[in-house]
Amino acid sequence: MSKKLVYALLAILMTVGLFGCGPAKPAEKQTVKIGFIGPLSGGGAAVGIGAKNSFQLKVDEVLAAGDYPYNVVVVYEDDASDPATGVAAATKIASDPDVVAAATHWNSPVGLATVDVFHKYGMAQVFWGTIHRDIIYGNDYKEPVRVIPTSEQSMELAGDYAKQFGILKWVIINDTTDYGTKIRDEFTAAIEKRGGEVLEAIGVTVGQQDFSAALSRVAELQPEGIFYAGVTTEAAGVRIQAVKMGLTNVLFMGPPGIQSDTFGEITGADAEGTFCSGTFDVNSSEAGKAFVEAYNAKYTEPFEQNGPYAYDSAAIILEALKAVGPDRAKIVDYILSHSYQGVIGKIEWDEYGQNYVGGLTMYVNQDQKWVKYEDSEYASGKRTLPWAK
Amino acid sequence: MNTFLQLLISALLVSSLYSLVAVGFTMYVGVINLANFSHGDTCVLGTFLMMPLFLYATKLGWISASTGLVILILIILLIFLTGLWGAAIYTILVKPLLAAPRLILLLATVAAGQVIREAIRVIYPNGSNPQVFPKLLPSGSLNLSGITLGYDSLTIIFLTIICILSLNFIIQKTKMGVAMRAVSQNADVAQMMGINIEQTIISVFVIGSALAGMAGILNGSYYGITKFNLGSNLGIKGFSAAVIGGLGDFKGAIVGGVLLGFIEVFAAAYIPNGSQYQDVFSFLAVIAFLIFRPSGILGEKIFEKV
Repeated sequence: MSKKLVYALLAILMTVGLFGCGPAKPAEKQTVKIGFIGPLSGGGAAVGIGAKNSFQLKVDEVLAAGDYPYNVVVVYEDDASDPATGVAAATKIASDPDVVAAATHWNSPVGLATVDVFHKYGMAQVFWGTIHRDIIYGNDYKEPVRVIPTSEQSMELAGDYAKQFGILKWVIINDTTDYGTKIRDEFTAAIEKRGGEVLEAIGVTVGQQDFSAALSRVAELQPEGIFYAGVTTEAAGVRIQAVKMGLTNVLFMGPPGIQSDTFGEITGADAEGTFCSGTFDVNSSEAGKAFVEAYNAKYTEPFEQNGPYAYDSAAIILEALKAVGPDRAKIVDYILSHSYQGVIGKIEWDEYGQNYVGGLTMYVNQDQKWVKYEDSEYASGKRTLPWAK
Repeated sequence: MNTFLQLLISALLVSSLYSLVAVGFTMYVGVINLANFSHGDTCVLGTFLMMPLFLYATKLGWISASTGLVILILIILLIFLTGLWGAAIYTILVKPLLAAPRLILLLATVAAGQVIREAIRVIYPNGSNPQVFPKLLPSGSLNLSGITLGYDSLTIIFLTIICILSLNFIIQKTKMGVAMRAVSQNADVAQMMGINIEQTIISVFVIGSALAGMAGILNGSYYGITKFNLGSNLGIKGFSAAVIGGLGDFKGAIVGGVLLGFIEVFAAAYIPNGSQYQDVFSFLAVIAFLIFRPSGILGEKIFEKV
């Protein structure tokens, strides 16, 4: 090797060495995983994807701010609305030592099945969906908390408004599914607690088209209110046929299951003045509006009913992680011992871990749309409710 | 008493819809001895053809201009389209299998129904979800001392009667009807007498499908909703009505439809918790007929010589 070549190599090495010896790099942020499980396929996929996007949106927003101490990666698993698939997904997430907490499930049967898995692994499980009481109250675990209100809370709200309107004689028409019967029982309890009376509960089936027999019985009983415990399609059928039978001077109300624009589309003018004891009205707060704007700027799929709850679930997990670090047990304790201000309002747990403060709204149908009752022309007195005494 | 009369009107409405489906169903059985299990789905096909037609007419501003006449034209167009579908079903599905055992043909009609359902899901926007069906019938109601008579119910009952009378006229008084009756009694002899068997069977499919389309849109208009899988239930109810009345018997289908409607409405109203078992009562009636009078109310008993 010639001397010239040695010098040249030396010069190159020195140059590289010189540029390479810059100031010390800042320490890399530790990567922490958090989990999300929901129905990303099957019949509930629209809700699951809306929630998944909302969850990711919050994570992206927090990381984009730059001062978050961890690099957070979300692990997504699909429960396909199926308990067995849900348990497999939960086990996969909970058994990964890098995952510190998870937000889970839309379907109650899936939640009931996985709550034991997360408890076994001592991992915080924040429910952005499900309504079944026993998920939270059926055990003494401290891992599960639920952001979304229960159907029981929703029916309490329905009871409050019924009392406020002075409508205390009710007939319930319920579909015979678990959802329908559960809502029926909870609404009955809420009404009776307030001194009212449920004259009769009439069962119908999902998919039924003709409700004339049930409504004839309603007409005989002469209630002040009809409560439909079920979901949109049959609720719309009941409402249309009730109006056809002249049952217009009774209050018509339903649970969150009828909170869909389809109700107004099917029933048309007959929807006017009907009520829905529903979930959070995202447009009722500045934070909610900001969420809608940020979501719509990023995603084309709708965030559906549960998006805001999933968004707040991410916020809760990230706040706990920031406060106590990637320690599962500490995160569980932190989440349960703190309250939060989310897009759905204040989130505060009862002793079991159920949010009992924000997230519920009473809607009235105005021009075929569900409008928050307090913001409606019915509340302002501009319009008169068809059943008003 | 008011409740009873109100239920009577509801029962008449339900009966009308069932009779209309049953009459179409029984035509297939009567003429070519085939239970066409895609009949209910053809009813639903009618609704999914009507919705874009109505939307298009609305976009052109025709609906607000002279609604009644335009809706009548749309209904006629729909009857034509579903009739065309019947002819297509015959040509594609039935004709190649006409010589095959009837069980094979029956299975083929089940498949045709499935094709309709899945096609709606795939082709129609958001086809898996319930769809709002336009209100084609007059709204409002008459109140006769506490009994509400909806104009739409009255229109459905009236149109059903018109359809059934027209069909009766076709079967009894026209050359086509004579051919149908002849083929139903003995296809070979009918052919020897110069009756065009193929033409006769096509006409059965065209008329049957057109009736199904009509039943579908009346059902959709009254309940305000349609769904891709609604046809299974409608078809089974039509089949049940035809069984009760006597499979293959035209008048029997009407009687069966009426009876089925009355059983459903009155059992649901007068049996405690009956509303949730509405379908159970109607199918119990079918089972009872199959056991105790398999030939139905008006069907003739067939004695087979050993």
